[in-house]
Amino acid sequence: MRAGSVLLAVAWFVSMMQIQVGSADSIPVNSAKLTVYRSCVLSGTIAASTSMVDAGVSQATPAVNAGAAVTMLLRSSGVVNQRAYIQFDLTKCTPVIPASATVANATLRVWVTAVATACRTQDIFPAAAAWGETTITWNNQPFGTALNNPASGTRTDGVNVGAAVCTYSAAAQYVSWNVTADVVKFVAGTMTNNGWMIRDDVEGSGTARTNTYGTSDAVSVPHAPQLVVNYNT
Amino acid sequence: MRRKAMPIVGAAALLAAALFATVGHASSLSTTAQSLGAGKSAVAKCDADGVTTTQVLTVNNVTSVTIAGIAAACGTATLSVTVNNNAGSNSTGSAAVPGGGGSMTVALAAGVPMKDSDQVDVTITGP
Repeated sequence: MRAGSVLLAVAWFVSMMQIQVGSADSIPVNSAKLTVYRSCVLSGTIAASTSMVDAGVSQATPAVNAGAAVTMLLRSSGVVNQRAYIQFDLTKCTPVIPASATVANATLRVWVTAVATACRTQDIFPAAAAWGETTITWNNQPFGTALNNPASGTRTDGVNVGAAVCTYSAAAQYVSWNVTADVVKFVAGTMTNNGWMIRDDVEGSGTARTNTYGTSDAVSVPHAPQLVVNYNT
Repeated sequence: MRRKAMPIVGAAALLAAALFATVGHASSLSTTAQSLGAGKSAVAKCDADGVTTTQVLTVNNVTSVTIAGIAAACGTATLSVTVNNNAGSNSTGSAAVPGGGGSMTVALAAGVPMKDSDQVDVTITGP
């Protein structure tokens, strides 16, 4: 009786071992495709923002700083042209974008509050030197006071904004510039991040053309200037 | 009775020992498994050139995210979005990618207050 019980126990043990060993070649392995991207979204959420600075400069008031203004104008008009400067602090991204990251795309978005009476191309250029939100003026801006400088051909991107048939033909929406080429260099450390300057493609227009954009000092958080950087590591 | 049982018990013990020995060698068995192994292997992607993300706001909260530029190869995959405002608030949402890729808007389970720096993670699993 006792020997029979032992044999039964051994037989059961053997069968369990066989089941376990036998199951080894049927383990399911899931190898679905996996695509992962991360974005850092920097927003100028009202004046308290620490992630970005912006300011307009005006040829009409060349020594006046407008860093606290709630709007910045891109105006082409005789000798009263206006430009905008904007800079985002990429070190504010959490987590910080590693220098080895592959930047898939980067978009700068600014809320337009009023559009020109005709379609105008708005060019964006990486700023050539450092500037300060509370000190920049038309006279001391990095690109100097000459009109249409730098040349349009050196722009990072240009978008059409204004009434009539235009990419952005109405107010109260975000206007987006593709700044991928610059952000790739900022992240890699091959170009200093001094932000950007945006100007009308052809300054000095005989008829005044003005597009108006909200700044980080505007009162509405949902309309804050933004830099969206999509990347993977 | 005891004399007869002893050899049987001994044989059982030997059998059990042999089995343990076999199991003990399992880690050194050469296998021909077609779906089980060790080592590194690149995981395939369905989108190689990146997507664009745009936060959709309701008042001051990010309530959904629009993802554009999704490759057609990602069609029918599951796309998951997580927004983290780095200030203690985060939320996730997911949905199926349209058949031809393109763009889609994914609602978050809860609104995330917009801050100076938000992190948005997009994960596409499959198809």
